[in-house]
Amino acid sequence: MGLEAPLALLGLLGALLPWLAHRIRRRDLQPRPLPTFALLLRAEARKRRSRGITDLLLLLLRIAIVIVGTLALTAPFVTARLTFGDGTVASAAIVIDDSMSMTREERGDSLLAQALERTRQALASLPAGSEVALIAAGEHPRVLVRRTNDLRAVELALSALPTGSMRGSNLRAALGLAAQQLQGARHPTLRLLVLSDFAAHAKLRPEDVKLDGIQVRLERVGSAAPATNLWFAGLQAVPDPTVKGQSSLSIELVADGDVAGKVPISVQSGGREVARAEVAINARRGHALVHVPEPAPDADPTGLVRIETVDALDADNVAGVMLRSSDALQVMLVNGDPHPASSRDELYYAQNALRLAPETQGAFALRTVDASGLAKYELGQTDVIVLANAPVPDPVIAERLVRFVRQGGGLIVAGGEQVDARAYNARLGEALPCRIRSRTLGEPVAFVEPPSPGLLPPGPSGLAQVRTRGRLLLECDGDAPLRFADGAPALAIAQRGSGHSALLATTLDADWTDLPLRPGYLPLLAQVVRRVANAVTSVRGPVTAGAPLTLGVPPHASSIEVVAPDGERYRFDGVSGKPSVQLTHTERPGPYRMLAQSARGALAEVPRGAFVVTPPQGESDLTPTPDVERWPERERDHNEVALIRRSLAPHLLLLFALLALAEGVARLWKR
Amino acid sequence: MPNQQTRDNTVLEQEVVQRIAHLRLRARRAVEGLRSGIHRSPHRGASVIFAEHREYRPGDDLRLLDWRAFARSDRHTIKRFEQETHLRAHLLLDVSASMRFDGGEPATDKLGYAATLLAAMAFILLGQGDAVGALALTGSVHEVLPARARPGQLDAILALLERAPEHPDRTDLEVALAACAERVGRRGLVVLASDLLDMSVTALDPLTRLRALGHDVIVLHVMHPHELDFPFHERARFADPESGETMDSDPDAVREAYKAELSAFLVGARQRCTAAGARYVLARSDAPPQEAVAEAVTPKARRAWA
Repeated sequence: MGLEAPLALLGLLGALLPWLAHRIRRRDLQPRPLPTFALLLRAEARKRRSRGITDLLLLLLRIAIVIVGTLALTAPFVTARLTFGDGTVASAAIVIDDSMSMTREERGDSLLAQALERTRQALASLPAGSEVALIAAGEHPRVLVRRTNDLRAVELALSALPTGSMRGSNLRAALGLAAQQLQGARHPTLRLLVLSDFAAHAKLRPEDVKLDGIQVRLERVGSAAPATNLWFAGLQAVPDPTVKGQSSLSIELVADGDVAGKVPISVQSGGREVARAEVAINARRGHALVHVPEPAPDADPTGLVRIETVDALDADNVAGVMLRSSDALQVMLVNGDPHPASSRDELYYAQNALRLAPETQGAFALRTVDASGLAKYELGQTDVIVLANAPVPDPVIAERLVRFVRQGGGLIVAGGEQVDARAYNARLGEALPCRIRSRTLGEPVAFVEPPSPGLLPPGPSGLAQVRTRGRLLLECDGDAPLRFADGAPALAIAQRGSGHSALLATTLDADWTDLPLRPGYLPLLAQVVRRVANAVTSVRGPVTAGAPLTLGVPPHASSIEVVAPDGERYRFDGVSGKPSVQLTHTERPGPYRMLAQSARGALAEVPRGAFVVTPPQGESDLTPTPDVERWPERERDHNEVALIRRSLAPHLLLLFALLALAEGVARLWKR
Repeated sequence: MPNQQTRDNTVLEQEVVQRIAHLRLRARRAVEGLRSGIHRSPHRGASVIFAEHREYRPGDDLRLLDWRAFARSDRHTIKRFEQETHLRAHLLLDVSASMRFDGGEPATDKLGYAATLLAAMAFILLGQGDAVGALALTGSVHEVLPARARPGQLDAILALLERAPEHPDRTDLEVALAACAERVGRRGLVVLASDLLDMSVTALDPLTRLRALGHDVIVLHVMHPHELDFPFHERARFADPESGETMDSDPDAVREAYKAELSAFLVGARQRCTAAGARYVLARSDAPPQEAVAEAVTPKARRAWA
């Protein structure tokens, strides 16, 4: 600190003026006789205390006014060492890494919070008139503030930046954005400040920071020493084949740093802890298999696995997992001819075929009901209804089935002795792909092979060897994907309203045909179920945090709510008729659920609506990139000396004005 | 002694005579319109209450001969009546230092104003044949003029009021009034003109004693407009005229508190006078004196001393 005009300090003697004036004024007072002096004495005693304080305050204020005014005249200044730039007006871009690794805490604050504070310091170092652009380097990199000289707007953007982001880092793309922002800058001096932990996973290279005409400065936030961290390398739940209603959860952990012994983990589902285990870490890796109860079909299918230990990065200690296959098609099998001997049951072959179908194309969640019990079930949670040799439903149920199909559901009708052609045509005709002319039993007939493309995978299916002696005679307007050798339709599929329906001319069991015994039965049935299912599968597989996500809108939904792992809800209204919506709030790793609301109904879990967001791959590895600060050599030269003088006179003049105002107020108060 | 100085100094004596004349004029103006109808009795100077007979002596008024007694006893006897006593009024003037205050405006001098009020009262009382005396007091009684109804009494009273000596004493109303009570004797009228600036709570207690002696008491509370209005603004060093004590004060800052104290003082004075049975009249020294005199001689007051 120094003074431009130290002689003005003599003016401090003026601080004595108020005191001297006070003394002189007292001395010059002439006595004024007042007979009611005793009354005045009492009045003075009453007012003396408060007035004494006011007088003292006034005296101090006046002395302060003189002192501050004098100090302002001395033109005091402070010498400041700039933390960014050299005090000249410049156009600058500041890149802040807001990836997940920046949520690591050091010295009681997250690295991102420290980066934001450092950004504020850098902004304060820039002289008035400078331009600043602000870029966030978390995946996907984005420009928070376009190049502007309104530093206040930049401050506001800093305050609005979420500090709990779970994005990956993409410093290279962020640097590209920064270079774009500095193109066409107003000032010749271009500066770039990059604030990051510069973890090795960012894969930043020295050549990435060589930007023509731009003075680049890389500042590491946080320590460069590797920190101990644990994270999930793998997490998958599969149905336990040995115990019904149980899932096996495979957990694989990776440790970075000195971690030995056992690491406790917990599994939560439906808001409660369902399992707890310990993972032994050997050679930086550990694996455990945990059994957890499979959630009910209509319950939250997600689970939350947590590493119950303290490490460098808390954000990657939590991971979501689908405890029940969420994208399984909900298939309701209506058994028209139950039999005590399972091998002779109408659904024996169909159930086994759908259970054994490969899950690569989506699994099937099966529910078997009797024809008489169909009325008890809510069809809205079902994707496909299979009427296997079922007698025609009563009119009320039939009406629901027709409406179910027209609103997007799938219906498969398989033939059999219980199928009355006339009754089916009368009650379900609107939903069926063809009319059923009659039921016939006669000489065995084979299928035509190959069927329509796409119905079966390439290769021999054995359909040509199928012998069918009983069948329904169908009258179809359109093409049939599968026909008997005599040309009659064996399978018809058509769209009805928003849904699809299929009609299989023979039985699903081996009563009328030996189709279930042929290799083509399993893929044929699975494919027919998938084709009539108008199922919207929202998300397949894990989603990386921060990535925007397209969610399919379920049929009949008027609004959608997505429930994030932290309980935050994101609502989309007016989605009726839209095929999909875009979800951008995927920063939180863990399980997400989707709820849908129809125009009249309450919010309900959307089948296959749940999905899991995983932390960005590699973000958990905190190994730093060494010596990154030395890469941009020019900036080091420019910042060796950056000292400036900052005048304190404006602040003192402001204080002078405030004190004068306070003195006036005190004087009025005294009166 | 001021009286001695007055007698020895002709110039000063001449001034006093002029001031007395001025006082007389002011007093006369003050009572104009107030005198008519004050007295209801047609027997001025005579009694109607029979007392005794005595033997006639040459020189006695023949009108007082009791002819009926002469017829019965053949002796000349004179009827004697109880001596008619004129109302004996005493005018008490506070001549303490605080009464010398004029606020820089001689026309509003408290002492002069109080003297005018008392002179007016004397004018009225003597005019109706009452005996009037006067006393000057501060912490004690300084000058006494006994009550008389003789023709020169008015001049004597005016002279006493006008040349009231300046006494630096502090006002001690309790002592002064107690001394007056000793001197004023039997039943009569006592008129006190003072600023009552004696903050002792017992200052006005002797008024009760005066009432007990059968006196009717009128208190003329004389205050200067500066005392009542406190019209000061600049910071000043105020001084007590009696004690000489000083204090620096900012009038604007203490105005409200001062007025509250003043109001309490005035209310207290009125209450204590009223409680003692005295009639209280607040007189501003810049107001026409006839207003205060008129208030003092309202019918209610007049009944007491008519």
